[in-house]
Amino acid sequence: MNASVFERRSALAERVDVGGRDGANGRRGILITETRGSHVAELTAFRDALYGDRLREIALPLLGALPTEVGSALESARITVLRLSVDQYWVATRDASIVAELARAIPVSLGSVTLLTGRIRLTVEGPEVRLLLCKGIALDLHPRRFKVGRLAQTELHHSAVVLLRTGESCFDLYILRSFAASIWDWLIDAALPIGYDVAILDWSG
Amino acid sequence: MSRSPRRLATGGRIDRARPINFSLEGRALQGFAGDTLASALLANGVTLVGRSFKYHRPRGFMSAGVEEPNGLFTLGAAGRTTPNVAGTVTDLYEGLSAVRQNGWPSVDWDLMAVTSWAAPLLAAGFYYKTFMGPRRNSWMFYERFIRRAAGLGRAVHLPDPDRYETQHLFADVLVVGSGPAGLAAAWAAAQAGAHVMLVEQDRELGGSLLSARLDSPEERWRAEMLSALRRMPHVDIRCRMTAIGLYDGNTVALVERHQGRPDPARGEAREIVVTLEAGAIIFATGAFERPLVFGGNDVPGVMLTSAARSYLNRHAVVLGRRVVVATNNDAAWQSAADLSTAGAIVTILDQRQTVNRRCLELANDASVTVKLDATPTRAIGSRAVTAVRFSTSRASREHSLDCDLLCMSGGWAPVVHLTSHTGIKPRYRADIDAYVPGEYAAGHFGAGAMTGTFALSAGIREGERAGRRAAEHAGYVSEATRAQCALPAGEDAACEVGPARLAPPAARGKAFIDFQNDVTTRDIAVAYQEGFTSVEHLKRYTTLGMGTDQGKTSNVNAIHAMAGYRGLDPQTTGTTTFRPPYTPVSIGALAGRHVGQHFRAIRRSPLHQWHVANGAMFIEAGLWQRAWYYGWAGDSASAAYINEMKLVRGAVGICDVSTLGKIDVQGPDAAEFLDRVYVNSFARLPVGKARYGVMLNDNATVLDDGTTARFADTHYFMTTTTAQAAEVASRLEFLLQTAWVDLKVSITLVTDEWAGMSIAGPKAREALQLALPGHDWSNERLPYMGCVDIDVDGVPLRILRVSFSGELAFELYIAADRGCALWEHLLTRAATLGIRPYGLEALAALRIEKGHVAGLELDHRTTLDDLGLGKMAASNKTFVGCALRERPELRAPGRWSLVGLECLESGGTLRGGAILFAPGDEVAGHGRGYITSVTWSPQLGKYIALGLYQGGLVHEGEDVVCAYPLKQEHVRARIVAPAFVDPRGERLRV
Repeated sequence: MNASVFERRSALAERVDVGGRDGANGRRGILITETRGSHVAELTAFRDALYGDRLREIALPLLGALPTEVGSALESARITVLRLSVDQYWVATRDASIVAELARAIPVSLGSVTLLTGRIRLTVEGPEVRLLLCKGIALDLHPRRFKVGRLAQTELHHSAVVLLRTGESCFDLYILRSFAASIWDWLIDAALPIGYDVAILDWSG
Repeated sequence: MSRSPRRLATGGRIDRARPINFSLEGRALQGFAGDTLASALLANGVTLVGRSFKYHRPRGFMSAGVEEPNGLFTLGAAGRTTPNVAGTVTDLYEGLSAVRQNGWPSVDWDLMAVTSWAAPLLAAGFYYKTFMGPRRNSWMFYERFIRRAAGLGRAVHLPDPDRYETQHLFADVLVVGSGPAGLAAAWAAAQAGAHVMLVEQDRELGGSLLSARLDSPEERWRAEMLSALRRMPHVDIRCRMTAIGLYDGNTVALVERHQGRPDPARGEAREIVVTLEAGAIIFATGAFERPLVFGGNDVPGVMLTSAARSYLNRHAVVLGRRVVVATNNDAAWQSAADLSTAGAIVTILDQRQTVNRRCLELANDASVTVKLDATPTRAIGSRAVTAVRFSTSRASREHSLDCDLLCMSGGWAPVVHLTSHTGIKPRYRADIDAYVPGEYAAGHFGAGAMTGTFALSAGIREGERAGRRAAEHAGYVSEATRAQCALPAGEDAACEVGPARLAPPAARGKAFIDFQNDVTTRDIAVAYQEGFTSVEHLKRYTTLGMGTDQGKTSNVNAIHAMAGYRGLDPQTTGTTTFRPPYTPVSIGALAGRHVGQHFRAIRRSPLHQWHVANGAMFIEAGLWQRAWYYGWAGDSASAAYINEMKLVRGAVGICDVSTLGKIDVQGPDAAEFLDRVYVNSFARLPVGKARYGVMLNDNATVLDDGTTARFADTHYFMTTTTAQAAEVASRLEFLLQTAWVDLKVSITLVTDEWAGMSIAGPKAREALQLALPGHDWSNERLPYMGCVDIDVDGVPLRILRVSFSGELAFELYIAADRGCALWEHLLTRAATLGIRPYGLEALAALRIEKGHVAGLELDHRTTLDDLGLGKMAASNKTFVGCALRERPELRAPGRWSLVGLECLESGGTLRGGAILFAPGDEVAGHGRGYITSVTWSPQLGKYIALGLYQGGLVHEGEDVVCAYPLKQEHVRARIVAPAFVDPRGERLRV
């Protein structure tokens, strides 16, 4: 599919190519990585406790594990499963076949599988990552309060984002493609005094 | 610098190894690291630091802190010019340039000082009484001159080049203030395991302890406590951070100031506004010393006793050799002793007839001359104090003492501003003659001088208790919380305060209460006589308590004065309302980074970069940046859109419609759901077909319209207008979660997931055949309002045969990140047909020619019938708004309804918003309707428009007058059916 005439293009291509910049202290305390070539799908069971249980039974073998708590995520080498609400999950993977299998496996009478091609995953990490995020996100991101594996549907620069903590000093941001350039500009501006590097993680291959 | 007679050779918290150059009105001066602008100026002998607000009287520094009313400067130059900055809180930095304020031609030689001669005429409120005539609006004429004569610094109109930021922080326990109580509170809370944030507005921790001698027990205690705090994990110490406001939810607004001159190019922020949410808050904000009120108490050289001590012990500046300390309380005695120890000849005048043994011993040890029962009546001097007159209760005549520094201390005013911000009124305590917090909200605690506990050891213990209770409130309880910190060595005692005597209004010399606003005791008397006896009215009448200092040194004295006139006690008189900010905040800090490109987020289509690279001009549509028109078609919108329209009507064009709202509707009950949402039926819509639908608000006005296509029995693809996508999605989710919880439906807003493009024009089908061969694009396979999902080279494409322009058209949707590739593919493969892009201006014009309604007509005030769509409403089902649309007012025949308009005047211009009148009507008021959308029609060769007109198409064929008052235009037009091109819809069905 990647060899198609309709190749995938990043909304941030021109921006990421510009590269990083030293901060006021001459260092680069933040790394911002755009993950390209990922596939995100939304799984939703219709409102009924039984439907939700059934959806989990079907999805579990395909995904390996599912988060037990709303607002948390499980991450493996190839799949990240985010539980956004009781019966609503996001599956982010480099493997398109998993999304296709989910779509085939989950009956239309039980719930829906929607491919989200307009979400962009940015990873921000580094020792100063909390300082960076506190400039725009009104959440207590201290590790005691916001543990690794926890997620929040929140707002950054007037735009809805999903924030997932993947490490002590590492967060994933799932942002809407139409806002991506604005959020990127905001992020590198906020990171200016800290200093930042940029990188691309390409899963297309 | 070391030769300055005022600067001591040793001592103080300045770094003599680090000289700092600065300037005052261009005059080069030098201070040291650790100086404030005020201390450096005083060390350089600059004692005249400004002119007063109204009378232009010479003024010197009165304080050494945020309460300063006199020493305000304009700092910086050009866009960085900042007026009204207190020199007492401005840390000196290399290159600082300062200008004194409110003097013409200069503060040293101020000709405006003549206003002082007219002082008897300039009592409070004089201008409101004097400058009201002879005409009703005369005040507007006088005001500009009065404003020019009075006032403070002036702002500039240049952009501020500095950077300001915003942060959101959190803490278990926030401690505001780092005096002895604050340090002890932070220590105790941290001992209990809480995450503590300790904020201090000064550049150093210590509060009042910073005014103590470096060899004092207080300083040793401070150093040991700081060392302990810095060893503790989870204690976050922030200096130069001021808590400016307290809000609900234990939320505190703070401003952090940058040290020195920040470099915005390196991302350094001049100020950072912090919104901090805490589990518990401890207020250890200290107290302000109150001035005494006597004649000439504003002469340079008259200052608060605590300030003189601070300049002496902290900055090594001794401000006088012959010093008089006038007081009514114990605290001033230590200052007198320190000044004497530093070499000054000191006399203390205490209003009390007796004082405690400790004070007398202190004075005796330091060789301070003591005069009890002594009340200052008048300071002598013009530009500098030279003597003080005082009286006693035993003698009728005044006594005089020569002096070059007159210190005054009228007791203490606890800093209750923050605790009062949420509406809790302060409470008066007669024993200390001061207001303290009336109560505390849950999770709030007070400690130290702000509670009226002025003794050092008692304040420390109170801080400890507050720290433990705050930590407990935040969920931290441990045995460690029982430990106590050590106390400073030496004797400690409560600070006894006697009543302060105010000079009577008739006394000689102006006795100032509010120094910044030039409010005297006489003004308070006038306000009382005029009936402005409430403290709130007093404030408005006299301007007392306004300005940059917000009456920090004046409010309590003013309340006492008014209470005296009214024969009430201060508790009954009450205080004015405390509001944020506690100290002035830059407008730039409030704006933060929400400036320039960061003012708000911009939405960009998946094709945005292509548009940029190919000569598109953009226009804002909500948050979206949309391609307005393209360079290929012309240099201006007015020229380009006509050429783009001609392309679509004559050949084929392609338009980016990615911004259309898109909602995925899935589930067994999707059809039933859409039937309830739309006025027309979707349950019977066959798979592979699309239908135009309209949905209503609860009140039966139109919410939105769009096309919804059915791709499976349980799967629909809804499109909405660009503007309403989020609102419609939110509305649908609300209905599913509250009204129709039984429906098995899920909706997902997928606007960002799909790139959309419309290929329109007579050659649209040929374009698709060239670009996507191997698929059947015939009318039979994909008729008008048909839809199909196809696969091209392994990539899914969604095709809807719908038309907004009225021409043969196809809407193509593809995964957003592949959109640009498809767009370029279509343009390349169909290039032989002359396909080119067209923008929003042409798109809007095409739809007006076709008579399609859009956002300008769907303004949440029009009904289905108003828009000529009433026949769409199904009669065999219910839908949102179906009941209320039957209301008589919504069915009234005279409602403003959709019409088309054709301009009848050659060269005439119809304009959006023009008001419609019938011929013969008086052209005034709201008329009979208005134009909603307008364009020049290349097809018809004239201006055409859509509009709403009273009675609608009942008046078809009649003439109207289109009035545009802003340009004084009246243009004739004719009412026609709102479909100017292909009214039978033949073109789009070919």
